[in-house]
Amino acid sequence: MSNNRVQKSPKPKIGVFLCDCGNEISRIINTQKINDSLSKENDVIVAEVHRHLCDSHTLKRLRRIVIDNQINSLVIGGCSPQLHLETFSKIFREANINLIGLKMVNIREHCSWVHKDKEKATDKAAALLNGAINKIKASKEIEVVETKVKKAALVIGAGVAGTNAALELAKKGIKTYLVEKNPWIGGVTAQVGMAFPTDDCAYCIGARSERSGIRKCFYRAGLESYPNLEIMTNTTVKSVEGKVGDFRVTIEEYPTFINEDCVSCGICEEVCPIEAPDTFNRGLSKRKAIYKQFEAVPNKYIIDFDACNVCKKCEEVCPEKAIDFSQRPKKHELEVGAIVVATGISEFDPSALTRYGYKKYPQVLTQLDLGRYLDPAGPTKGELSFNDKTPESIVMIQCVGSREKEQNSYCSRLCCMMALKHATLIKKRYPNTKITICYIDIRTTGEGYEDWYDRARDLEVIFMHGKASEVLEKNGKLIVRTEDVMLGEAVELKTDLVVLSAGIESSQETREMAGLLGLELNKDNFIKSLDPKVRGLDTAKWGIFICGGSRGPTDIPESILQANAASSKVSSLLARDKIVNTRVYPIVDNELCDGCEVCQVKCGFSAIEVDKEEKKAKLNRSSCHGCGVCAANCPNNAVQLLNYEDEAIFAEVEGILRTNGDGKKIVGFICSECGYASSDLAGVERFNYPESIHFIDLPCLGRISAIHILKAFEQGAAGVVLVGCMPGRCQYNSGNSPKDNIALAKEVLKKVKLNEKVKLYNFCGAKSHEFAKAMNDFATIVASN
Amino acid sequence: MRKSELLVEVAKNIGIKGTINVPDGLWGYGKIKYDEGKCIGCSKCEVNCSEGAISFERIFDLPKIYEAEKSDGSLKKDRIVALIKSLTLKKPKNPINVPELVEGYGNVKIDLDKCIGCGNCQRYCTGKALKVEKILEIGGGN
Amino acid sequence: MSDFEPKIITFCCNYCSYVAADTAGTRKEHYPANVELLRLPCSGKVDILYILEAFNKGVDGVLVTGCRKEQCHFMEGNYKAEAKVMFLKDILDEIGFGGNRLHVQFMSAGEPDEFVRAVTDMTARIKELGPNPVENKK
Repeated sequence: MSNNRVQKSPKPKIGVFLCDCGNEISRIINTQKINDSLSKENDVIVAEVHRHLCDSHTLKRLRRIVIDNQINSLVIGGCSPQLHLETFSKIFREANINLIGLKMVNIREHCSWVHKDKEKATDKAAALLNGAINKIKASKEIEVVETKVKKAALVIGAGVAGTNAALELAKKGIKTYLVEKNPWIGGVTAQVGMAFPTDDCAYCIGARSERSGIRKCFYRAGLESYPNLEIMTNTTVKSVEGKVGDFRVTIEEYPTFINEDCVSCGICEEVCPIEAPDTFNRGLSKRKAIYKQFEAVPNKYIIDFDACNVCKKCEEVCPEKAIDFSQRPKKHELEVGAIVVATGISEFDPSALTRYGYKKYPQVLTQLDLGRYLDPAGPTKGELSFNDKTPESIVMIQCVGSREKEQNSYCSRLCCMMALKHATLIKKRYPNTKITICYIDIRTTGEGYEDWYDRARDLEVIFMHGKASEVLEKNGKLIVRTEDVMLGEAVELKTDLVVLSAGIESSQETREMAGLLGLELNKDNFIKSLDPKVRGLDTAKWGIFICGGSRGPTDIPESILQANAASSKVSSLLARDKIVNTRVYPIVDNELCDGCEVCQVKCGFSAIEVDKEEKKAKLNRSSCHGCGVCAANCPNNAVQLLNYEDEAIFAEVEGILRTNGDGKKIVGFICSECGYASSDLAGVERFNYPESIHFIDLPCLGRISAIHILKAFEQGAAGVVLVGCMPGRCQYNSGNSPKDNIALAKEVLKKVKLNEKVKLYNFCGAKSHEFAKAMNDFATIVASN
Repeated sequence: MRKSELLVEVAKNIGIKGTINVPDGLWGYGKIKYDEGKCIGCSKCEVNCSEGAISFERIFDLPKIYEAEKSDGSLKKDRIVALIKSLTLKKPKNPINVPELVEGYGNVKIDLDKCIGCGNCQRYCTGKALKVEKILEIGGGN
Repeated sequence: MSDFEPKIITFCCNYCSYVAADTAGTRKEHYPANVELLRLPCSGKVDILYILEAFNKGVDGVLVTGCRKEQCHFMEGNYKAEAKVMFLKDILDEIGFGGNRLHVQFMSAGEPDEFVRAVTDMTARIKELGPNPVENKK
């Protein structure tokens, strides 16, 4: 897209405006003196000092001067760009004036508020402005990318999360495609039977408000005829191309061999001679090759072609002529503006842990299996009986395949509640059944969840603290070997039924979809969110959201909350007519790029990838966040971050160090996120630090390569300080890149014993006192010897 | 100018001489090193070298296998070499050309002048035979 | 050397050469008993390792057979087999073991006579060459 387009800029015509900020700045800094010297600089057309640049009259005047003098680059010396850059950008944007460069130099938070020596502070402010003017001459216009937004959304997966997300989107008037791999919607939720915390059936859904009631079963909610909602079952996503606002999705619909005319009379099912395991009942019962799930949406039969022997008896008896063996897979293309991935969870298969005897002894079940037995649509019509006998005792084993380093180290969150729900349900229906739950910790964190624990205790469910080690069979009875931590001894529990609370894993579909969409998985194998704290539903790909089980083990209430939140995220994106991308971005010089893939390895968002055919790096701008880690690590210097090119950074360093008479100046590289925030706050709090420290702001410290640090020393800097976000909290996923580059610079400088004069500090934005202390400490280190 | 060249130039201006250890996570500084014993002859490195610095020679250097140090025998090629040795009646003099369709035999030749140390071959190497030596020469003594 | 009965391994592919051998049997055609057949999915599955291993175990000759050129059921397996055999012949010549103890022959499934001729020729050739020289030495 932007490959090989190194923009040429017209001759710079620079306007410099200094702000006294009342006298907050001029109290310490002689702005008039700086203004006089800057007005003599090359390419500076206008230089003025104002009392308040940010008041509405001055802003208008500023715009007038820019228009009258045909100024194309603006340097503003005043407060923090984090405070007012947008104020200035806005007045020009509103008047459709495209400035090539607009740079704010922070002579308040970085100078007048933190320094006391008027002369030194004035020198520093002048040096910073010199640097900015030098840099702005190298500025290039950012190519703004506008994407016309397709007013439609795709939801992948029709479990509880996906169905709710799609329903909410449709309610908002957005054309929504709900794609489900299975023949019917519902996902795992349709299988669990009863749900906590409400002790009712699992498949309630928020109903249309004009209808009666506050909720409906999803099969009674009229989803098939819902306006704007298109349910596409038996369908998978094959490919996704494009970017936020404009995705092109190819989906493939598999044949059901039943056409629109099916009225679900069920005559076909009676004549079908083939039986196959019922997947809805987790293989615990049989169904015919032509079949329909309990409470199916869409309410239609389907032929399981893997089982079917094409005897065509169904075709003979079907009164509606609804059976059509000529159906073949069909591909469709969808155009959508945003995508929600809700591909859900699956239960850990405990047969991998042979010690628990799952699949070896028929009376060892998982909680989901038990859920099927307790469901009226289950293999025993809801009766808990095996060989016509109701078990007299049940042992439930918690944390099977959860919180275990060998399987999944995380807490699956749902299994405690599933065990409590099932124990309570059984106790109410079969009061004489003895139930023991072997647990490590019981975790009941949700509205009304702890009540279930109390209820279970009231119903005399036995809680035995300790991890069960083994399930054996002796004389037709099962034996659970466990530990009673209270008594501090090993015990053997004789029982009729063992229920394993197997952990929750990401479904295979979740992992496949992550691969197809180019999304990273987190360490627990769920889809990684953009930020675990504040961007939990966003992914690294702009316009693709996650909710429910695709992002972690989630119960029904939380899945629905997340689905509603995700739908709101999508609708706020699709409410725009166009998406305008004004982020800075890297430019690849095709002459220099050999396609060595280092940028691809280093990028935290998979935004730059090497085209295997052309052997050139290609940028996907909608995924790029503009940190410049690619540029910092390109061995051939073929990748440069626009307006933060090596040349621009060198120019700023040179400008700052031009007036370095005493050779004591320290260059600071500061990231525009937490690093800058902590420095701003230090100013607000009036913490003092030495005037020798001059900051150059970068989007992210990931942009720094060892050369930038060395260049500062070459130009005569006394030290280089780098301030960035906390480790692991980089807003650009730039990982270890700055650390490694700083380490290399230090290795080089060790030879001339300057390595101590380079230091990296990591602060979160609120740590202003630590910031000021660090600056003082560093200046002392640099000043010594 | 390459990043490493630029760095050497700037370092020289500051007055730095000698050899620098490069941190492990950084690419683009240092040169590739080839461990023939681990090479399984897949030729992926040649395909994936963006600089054309690696060429895969389809030559089976028969005389050389008698000189090589004893390997741990974990690779298939070690077994083949052992078998060839045990079938030997006279010492071979000439290397053998490997026909086009035969995979897994051959030698990696590296043109160090072209190598930029990007590590692409290392990332693609099936047998972990290629590794960037994370050392940067600035030159001019110590 | 007339009483020397060589031991010969013949690698057959699943499709043509093995069927050719079968058809030879159905037709009750005679060929020397020195030949032992070893069936592979495709002649391309023949590995240099297998042949070397066979020679090392004292086999006197190895014959690799496969489908006719352009008729491989796996695109180019027989070409690969031929390339490997030629490569190994060069090696065996260079180390003095003798590349002529190794031979490759292609035939279609309907050519049992071709199969019979190949194994008969092979046996005659190895008889001429004498026993495995390394085995002799041991």
